[in-house]
Amino acid sequence: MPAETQEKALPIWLPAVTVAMLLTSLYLIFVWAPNERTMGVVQRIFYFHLPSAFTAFIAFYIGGIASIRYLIGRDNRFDDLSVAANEAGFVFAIVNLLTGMMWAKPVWGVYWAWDPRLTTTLLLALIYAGYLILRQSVVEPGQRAVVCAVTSIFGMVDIPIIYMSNRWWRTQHPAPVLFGGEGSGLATDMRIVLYFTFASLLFLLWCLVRYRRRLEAMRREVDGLRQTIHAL
Amino acid sequence: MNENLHWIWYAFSIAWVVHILYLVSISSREKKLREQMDYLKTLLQQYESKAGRT
Repeated sequence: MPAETQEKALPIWLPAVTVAMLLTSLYLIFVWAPNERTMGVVQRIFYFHLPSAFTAFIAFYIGGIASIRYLIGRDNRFDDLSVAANEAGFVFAIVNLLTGMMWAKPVWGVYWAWDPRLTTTLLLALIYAGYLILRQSVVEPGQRAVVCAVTSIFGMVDIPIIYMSNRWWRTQHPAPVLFGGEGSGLATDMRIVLYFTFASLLFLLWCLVRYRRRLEAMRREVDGLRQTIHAL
Repeated sequence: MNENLHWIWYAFSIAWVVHILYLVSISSREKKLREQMDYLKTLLQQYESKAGRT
């Protein structure tokens, strides 16, 4: 049995630390963070909305870099890492879009606006939805890995465009609160809550990627067993 | 201000439901793969023991 499928999916401390951090972040969001002056209580969605986006970006970059490594060395472990990171990233991107819609409705009066930030984020989610569909539809493993690696690298290109979109085109989406230049910024206690939630979601990403990566190694082993039996 | 409380409830519920569904999907896929793996290993052992006898 390959070492990747033999090893335990997660060391016990990792989900324990993740759950503790997520619970603490919920406490910080709902109890500790102050109410924002203009939007009031609904602004607390921000503490989950923004870190979900950044976690998705990091996951997609991990997936993209793993894809580049796969294309260079054709090492299946990088293909496993790429699919694990991209799938988890897709989940965070969906959470980002949905929490954004729940925030937009009371603040803008609509769930969705075709604003550059929202549109480019939706495009990113669609690229990775395409990636996951490709993963299921290309049968030959080598070809599947190459096609998906190229899609993953292509998907990464959208991330800097999303990041810059509300700096380049000022429409519906609020201006950046972090690294947004003069007039931007957050109160210290708000920043603590935001960074802590971001760290919690990074731990959650770590758990999900490790768990999903092991699944991919198992799938590879099942394919190998099938080929051996067919050859007999 | 409090009239918007339900939007927070919706946002956080959706976020957690999505994550929990994803975890459930990974775990069910793992279970299926484990069953397939056990089945294929048993099949392989049967083939090998047959080949050993002949």
